[in-house]
Amino acid sequence: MLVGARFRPFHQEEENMAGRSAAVVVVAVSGALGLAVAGCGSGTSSSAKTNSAGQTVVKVGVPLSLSGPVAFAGVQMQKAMKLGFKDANASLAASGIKLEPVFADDKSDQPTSIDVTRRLVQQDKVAVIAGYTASNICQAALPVAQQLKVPALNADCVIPDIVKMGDYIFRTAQPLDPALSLMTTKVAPQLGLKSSASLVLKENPGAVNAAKIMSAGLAKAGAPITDAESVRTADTTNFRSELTRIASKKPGALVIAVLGGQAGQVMVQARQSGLDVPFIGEQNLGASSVIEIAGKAAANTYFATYWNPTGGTPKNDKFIKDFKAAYNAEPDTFAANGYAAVETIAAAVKKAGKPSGDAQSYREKLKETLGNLGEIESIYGDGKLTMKDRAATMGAIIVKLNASGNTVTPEVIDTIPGDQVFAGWTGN
Amino acid sequence: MQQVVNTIVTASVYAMFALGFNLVLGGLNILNLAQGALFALAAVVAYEVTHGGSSIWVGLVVAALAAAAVSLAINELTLAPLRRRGGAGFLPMVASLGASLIIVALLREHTGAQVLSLPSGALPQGIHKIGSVTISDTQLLAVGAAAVVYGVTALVLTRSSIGRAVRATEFDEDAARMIGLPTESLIRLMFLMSGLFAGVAGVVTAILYSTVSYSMGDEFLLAGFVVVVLGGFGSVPGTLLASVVLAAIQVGSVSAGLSDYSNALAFGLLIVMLMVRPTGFFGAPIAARP
Repeated sequence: MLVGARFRPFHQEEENMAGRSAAVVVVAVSGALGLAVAGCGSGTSSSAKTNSAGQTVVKVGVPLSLSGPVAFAGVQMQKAMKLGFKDANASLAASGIKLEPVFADDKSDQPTSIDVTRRLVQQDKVAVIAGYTASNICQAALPVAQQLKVPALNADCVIPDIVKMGDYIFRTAQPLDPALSLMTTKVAPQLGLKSSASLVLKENPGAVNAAKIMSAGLAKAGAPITDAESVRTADTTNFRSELTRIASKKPGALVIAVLGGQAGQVMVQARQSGLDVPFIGEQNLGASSVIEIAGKAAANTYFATYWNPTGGTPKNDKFIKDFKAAYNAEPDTFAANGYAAVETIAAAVKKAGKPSGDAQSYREKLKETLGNLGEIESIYGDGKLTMKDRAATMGAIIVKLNASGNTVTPEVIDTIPGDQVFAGWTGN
Repeated sequence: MQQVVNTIVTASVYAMFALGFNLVLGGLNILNLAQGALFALAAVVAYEVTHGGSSIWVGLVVAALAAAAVSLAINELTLAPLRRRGGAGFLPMVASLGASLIIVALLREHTGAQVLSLPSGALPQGIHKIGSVTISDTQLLAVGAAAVVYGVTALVLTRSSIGRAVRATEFDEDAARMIGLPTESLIRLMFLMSGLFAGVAGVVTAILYSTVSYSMGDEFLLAGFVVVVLGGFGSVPGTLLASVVLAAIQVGSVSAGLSDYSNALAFGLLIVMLMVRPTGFFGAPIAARP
């Protein structure tokens, strides 16, 4: 938030120091001590705690953006992850293990995400982290998890090269890059596109990256971007002037690379500006909140995703049914990403067995297990997810949104197996 | 030509928001940072009222009154006690920031941090085509609401005894009190009007851009500040002109293919204005103010 951002430094100064340099020294020293305590001190405490039911409790830190510009995704993830922990604990009951989530709000804010990560590890003593919502949050928080030597599974950030941050970093959320590239090269000829335009939120690295991939794919398919417009900020709601300019160029399709909280408005305003062309974009175009805002303006939208919103596998069918029953709403891709992260953590915990020894040795055990978990049953892709070299691979789906009256329904127009999607991919 | 329509519509919303902002800033030298929160509050209230089955017009009235009431409450509970204790300088601004954060936090919890929209069936749906230019009913509503807000404000401030008293209080609160004007009541009126305008602007924006969000006031707070500096503290015509100028720069930069630099150009103008004419288009010289 603008106001929060401006005054944040004052909030973070917890001590009333006489001089700024003294404050810097104290903060630096206490930070270093904190790291030392987390890195070494945790080795003195046992990881095994039992609850009243005699189950061994494994704490899972779940940092999410539950407020701020990315909360539209974080809130959906939290809902699904609650279901995921319930299902995981049912399957882990026979092993005598219970996962205990510790949710924390990073407020869609990088400095807060760093504080939250430290708190989860140093105060809450979690064994593993599964969460994070936005790419810029991952960029800030994951290096902290690496420093603190806690396995951290990225559940939703889709920028490339995340696991290259360190050997404690894992990902189930994969960049859509290979899927977006395949989608644009497949969809453009089907639609007979000769040109396209884009509307991009330049302050978001994920949106910029996605737009770059789709633009390259469209150019390769003979429909280059002829007009590229920028969105001012993540809080911008008025896109009329940008869309009016785009409409004047008469493109064959519009690439939308903005936050999910903005995508619905972009669709509505684009239609009002006379842009009756297909929309192409990331999975956030299929978010339930986006479709609710856009209504019939969302028709003729194409997006790539690793999760099938229409179900198609037993586990995914159950997930969709349970989510609807619990929240009286359709799950979206963010919800699916949250659930998939929990099912992966649960599989790793099950395989690693009950905690033994000190807390850090159990973290190390989880780290080794999670990194090469192999194939597990999943709500993703064609019903399976393969965890190898600390990154998941799964099949991709291309979805088209159709409208009948004011009802918008997703239609899967293509499914691409995981080995094809990630063939030659080096961006883990 | 379509971009001219976009400019006028954008300017209309800026103008409504900034007028209330400027009323308090120009009159009391208080940068009321809660104005953005009141803007969002009204949109959320309108969302609840319309989803409860009432018409958008009922939603508009209820939401604007709610924003006015909360604006008054902010004055009574925080700013008026501060004034009585001699709190000046940054203190009222910090107090308004506190009020803003509280309102925004409550809105965030209430909305579940989700971006919402008013029920499409409750909104004006008409689209009018004049040559190559398209104008929607919602755009006409924005321009019409701004015209009403400015017309009423101009009438009240220039043609009524209350308006003259408000202007006297704006110019010198102590002198106004000495000649027997009920300055506290007049200040309350300023906060009521300020909240009312923020409320109308918030609901109109929610209708215009299909958006209801607890953080939707942030961008407008920034725009409002630019408009007030450009137009001049306390100047009604200045606020209107500056709103048009800011909207024209933002829309014009997009038309020229410079959407990457839209905000940079707007704030560049702000810097130039501060250097060349620090009182804005119509602001009174500093020496003429108490």
